[in-house]
Formats: sequence, structure tokens, C-alpha cells
Amino acid sequence: MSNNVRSALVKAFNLSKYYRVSLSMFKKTLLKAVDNVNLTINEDEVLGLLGESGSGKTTLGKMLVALEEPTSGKILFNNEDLKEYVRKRRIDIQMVFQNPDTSLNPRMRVGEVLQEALEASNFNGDYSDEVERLLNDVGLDSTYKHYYPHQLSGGQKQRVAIARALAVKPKFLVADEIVSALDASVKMQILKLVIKLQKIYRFSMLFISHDLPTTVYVSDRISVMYSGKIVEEATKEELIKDPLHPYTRHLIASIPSLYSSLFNGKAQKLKDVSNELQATTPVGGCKLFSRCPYATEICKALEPPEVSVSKTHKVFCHMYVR
Amino acid sequence: MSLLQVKDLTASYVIGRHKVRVLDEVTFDLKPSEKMAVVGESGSGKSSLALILARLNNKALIVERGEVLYKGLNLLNLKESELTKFRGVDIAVILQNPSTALNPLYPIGDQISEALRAHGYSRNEAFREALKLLERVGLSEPAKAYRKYPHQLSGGQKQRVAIAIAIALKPKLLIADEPTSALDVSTQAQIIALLKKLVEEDGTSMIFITHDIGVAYDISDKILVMFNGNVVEVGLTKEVVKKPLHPYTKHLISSAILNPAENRLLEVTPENTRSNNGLKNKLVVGCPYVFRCPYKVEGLCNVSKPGNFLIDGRIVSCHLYGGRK
Repeated sequence: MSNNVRSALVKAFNLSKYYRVSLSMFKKTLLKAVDNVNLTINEDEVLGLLGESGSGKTTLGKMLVALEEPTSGKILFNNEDLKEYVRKRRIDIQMVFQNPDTSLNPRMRVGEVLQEALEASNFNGDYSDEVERLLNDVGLDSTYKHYYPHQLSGGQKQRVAIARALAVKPKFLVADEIVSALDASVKMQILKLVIKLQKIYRFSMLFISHDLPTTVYVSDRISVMYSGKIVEEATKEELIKDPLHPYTRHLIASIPSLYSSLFNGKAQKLKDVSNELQATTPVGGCKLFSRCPYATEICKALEPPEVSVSKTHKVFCHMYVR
Repeated sequence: MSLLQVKDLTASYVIGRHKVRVLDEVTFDLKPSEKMAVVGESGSGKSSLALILARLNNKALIVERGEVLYKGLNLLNLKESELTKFRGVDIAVILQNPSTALNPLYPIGDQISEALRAHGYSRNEAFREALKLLERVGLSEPAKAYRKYPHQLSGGQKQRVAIAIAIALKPKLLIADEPTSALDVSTQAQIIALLKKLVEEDGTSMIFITHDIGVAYDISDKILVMFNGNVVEVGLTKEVVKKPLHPYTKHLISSAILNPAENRLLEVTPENTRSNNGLKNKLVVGCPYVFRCPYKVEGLCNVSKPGNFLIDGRIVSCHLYGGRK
């Protein structure tokens, strides 16, 4: 959290991903999972990506690690085209998934999983020592290298998945809902672990989550996503002090009151999603139009522009246009 | 006069020739129209408790001792045929995953009226009542919604249907096992508000099982904290959250409330990665929390199990608050 200027590691320009979905045998429509998104992640920075299910946050994350091909737009990694970069050094970019049950091979022991990752990197030292060091880093003792995934708890498996991603010393890590499947107290341990490791390894991270308190806890900056678009982007401090977008305030109103005391008085509920409301969502205008209590005629007609409130705080909403 | 009294409920899972204790002398009571939350981490026995209370436990989960008294009648002694009379009318259940709770082959409206028809409603009455219920749980255009199949609904809408089925016969007691854990944050907030409104309107008692103390805080009057099959603390929700007494409750609350200001302090404790794996098989002599407790007293906590102490109207099971049992 130093204030000196950090250089950008990942830059996305006008990034979009559309899927063709069939409504019926003849009717097809375009689903805009990610729609014209601009994003920057600096070196040694944690950017939180917050949004509900279906908002396109996972699709965006997958494009940034080159697991999905964007429909349009451009991604620069280290000032090079991402595709070119990946061809040369895939290992600099890693991802940790939500469910460690499906991301770890059930037939490989923990030690083998980690060694395989090391073999893929240009590591030349003693594998066994390095595996133990990695396990130690994620808070597991060395006996765990003999275990199979099914012998571990959910939290322990997630630790192994994190150790595997870090084995190759990545520059950029995408963490996609890594604590969503975990219990409250285990969740806390994993969050602390990730923060600690980020400080040791100094990688950049995109922390994808639907949980506002968790995202605020881990991240330096936060982008809020709704329906394929980024609606607000701010530093953690700005977002706590002054959440601007109606959707961000709706998220604050949705978290249990025990956790929302941090954001005093900024909560404002939106209308619940329902079929009639969805039908009245305008094609060209703001995606939130039918749910927003502040909506006016302009919101219906025009897509909200980007409004810069401060150097680091952007909001996409007609309300703040002066 | 309490609606439900649970006394010394002790249960185990039978796995091959082994028995694994899952509930250990669980005791509490619930008054009419009281909302009680059961909190604990996974493996603490909270779902097993729900299954036993609803008598939905299969053969692998056996009750060894204890009583579940519903209006003075021990539910554990009833035969399946006698239980049918209680289900829906007296006790109803909502499960975590609405996709598996609903039948994918029937329209949702029929599934609601089925519950009503099983208890004496005529076809017409059941249809009309089902429409009212769909409206009550906040599904728009009930007549249209009636004919929809589960796959046409979102997770939140399916959970609303499950709630409609559960409240159809105005049960006296509603057991909700993590009904919002599979849902998104904003949907979760809507479902919690809906459940709270419905049980308050009907005067239904509710046992709400959750791992999220924040959810418990918003929905319940009373809270029961479980650890490793034991009840460690019972009290009024507001008071327990404000001033937790048991070390585990303290840990649970402090790990739930994330303060972003402390994030950069780099205070990472050597965590309990081994937690209670493998411990459950052994019968623990001392306090169930002794392996994790920062306040443990050697020679006391690892030797004898703490009794239940009554402190400021709250029941706490910890040696810090009393002597030997």
C-alpha cells in the first residue's frame, strides 16, 4: 500500500466477450458477458473484482490469463500483447480456482502436484527441498507431501492449489472466488495467507469475489462489475468512505448488517430483479435503469459515461455528470 | 411453555464397524414464534441436528440417547406413519439446495398443491391456495409462475418455491438448513427478509441453520453456537454477538468481521491446519475445543468436560466460567 507510482502490468482496452446463445431452434441472441471493459492492474497490486453471479467477472478473469479469447479488444501484459507473451512465458500468469476438488488431480500426491509445477518452470535445485519450502509457505508441514487430495480438508486443498500457482513464481495471479467454498474461520485463514504471500512474492493479483467485505479486506483497489460492465472503480479507502454508484450501494445494503457497519449510511437498496423489470431494461441505456431509484430519461436513452471523481475513483453513472 | 425441547440429544454416524459421534448431549428449548439460529463450522453437527429434528435421518445416523419433545411428545418414538401427520402441518423443512429439493418433472405450482392436497384440500382449493402462496413468496404473475418448471427459474426463485411449499400448511416450526448459502449476496438478502416476514406474520417458530454469523445476526432472536457436536454457547443473539463468552464464539465473531484496516499488519498466526481431522473418531475426554483454545488450562480443560454454566441468562460450556463439573 505504498503511495509511490507503480507501473502497469496488465492493461485491457475495450475488452469484450460475446457468446451466441440459442433461445430456440431458430432464435439466437448475443450474450454480452463482458462488454467494452477497460482495466489496469499495476505491479505489486491487488485489484478486487466484485460482482454477482452472471456479471461476467469470471469471463473477464479468464481472458486476462488467456484461457478465453476476447471477441474484441486488446490485452497488454508487461507492455506486450498477451497472446505473444503467453507463447513465450505462460508460467508468469497463474490462476487459482474456486473449487480445489476439481482443480487438483485426485491421483497425484501433494508433493507430485507441486513438483510437476516446478518442473514446468526453469527451477534447477533440489525439488524435494523446494516442495517442502512451498508447503511451509502456505502453512502446511512437510508430511503433507505424501497425502492425496481426498485426505485433505477444503482449506488444506486450497492451500495446495495456491502453493502450486506460486511454485513457478508468477508475476500475475488471478484468484477466482478462492474462499467462496470455505467456512468462515477457514476463509479468514486463507485470506490472511494470500495477503501474506502477496507481500512475500510481490505478484499482482486480480481477486474475483461476490463478497464485498472479503474483497475490501484483500484488495488495494476495487472494480465493481454489473452485467458485463464495470460500474465503479476506486481505491479501497475511497470505496469505503464514498461509494457512489447505486449498484455499489445496493451491494452494501445486501450484506448482513453485522458486516456493513464499516460503510455507515451509504446503503441503498435497488428494486429486486424480476421478469417485468428485465423486459423494460432499455437496449441502449443504463443496464440498471429499471432497478434504479434515481433513474431519469437520460439513463434510458444513453449509456452512462465515465465520470472521474478523483485520480483513482471512476464511476459510470449519469447522476455524477456535471 | 416451550414448543420444542431437546434434551441430551446424542447421535452418531455408523461407518462400517465404527461409530463417529456427531452430536453430544445437545440441549435447548424453543418457544412459540421464537427464531433461533444454529451456527457452527462445517462438521460441527448442525445439519445432522436438523435432520434428526425433522426425523429425516437415514440409517447411518443413529440417535443414541436423548429426547426431542414437540409439545411434550417425543418425536423420536413415533413411527413413520404417525410422523406423516406432523410433517408440513407442525414441522416443515427448507433445504440448502432448492434444485435438488424440487421435482424437475412437474410444474412448480403442482408441487405446492401436492403438499396441500395431501392434507385434505380439494383440487380447486389447493390450486387457489397455491396461487396465493406464490404471490406471498414474491413471485410475480402467480398464474404464469404456477405452470413453470424448476429449470425455468433462477436459484432465488426456486428457493422461494421451496419456501412456499414449506409454509403452505402454516407449520408451527420451520427448520431451515442453510437456505441462503447457495445464493448470491443480494438474493440472499431478499430471501432472508422474506423468511423473516413470513414467519413473523404466521407466528411460526424457526430453527435457522447457518455457518454465517452475520446472517444469524439479522434473522434470529436467539443463537446456539455449536462446535464439534457440542453446544458451547446459547443466548440472545444481540448479546452473544456484542459480548461473546465462549472462546470459540469469540473466534467465530472475530474471524467473521473483516476489518480492512488490519489487512496490512501482516499478523499471520500459525494456523490450525490440522483442525479436528481425525480427532472426531476418538472420544475426547476434555473440552471439545481444547485443541484450539488460546485460554486452555492444562490439567483441567484436557481432562474434564466443562459443564453448562448459566451466566447473565446465557448458557456457556467452558471452564473459564466455573470449576470442575
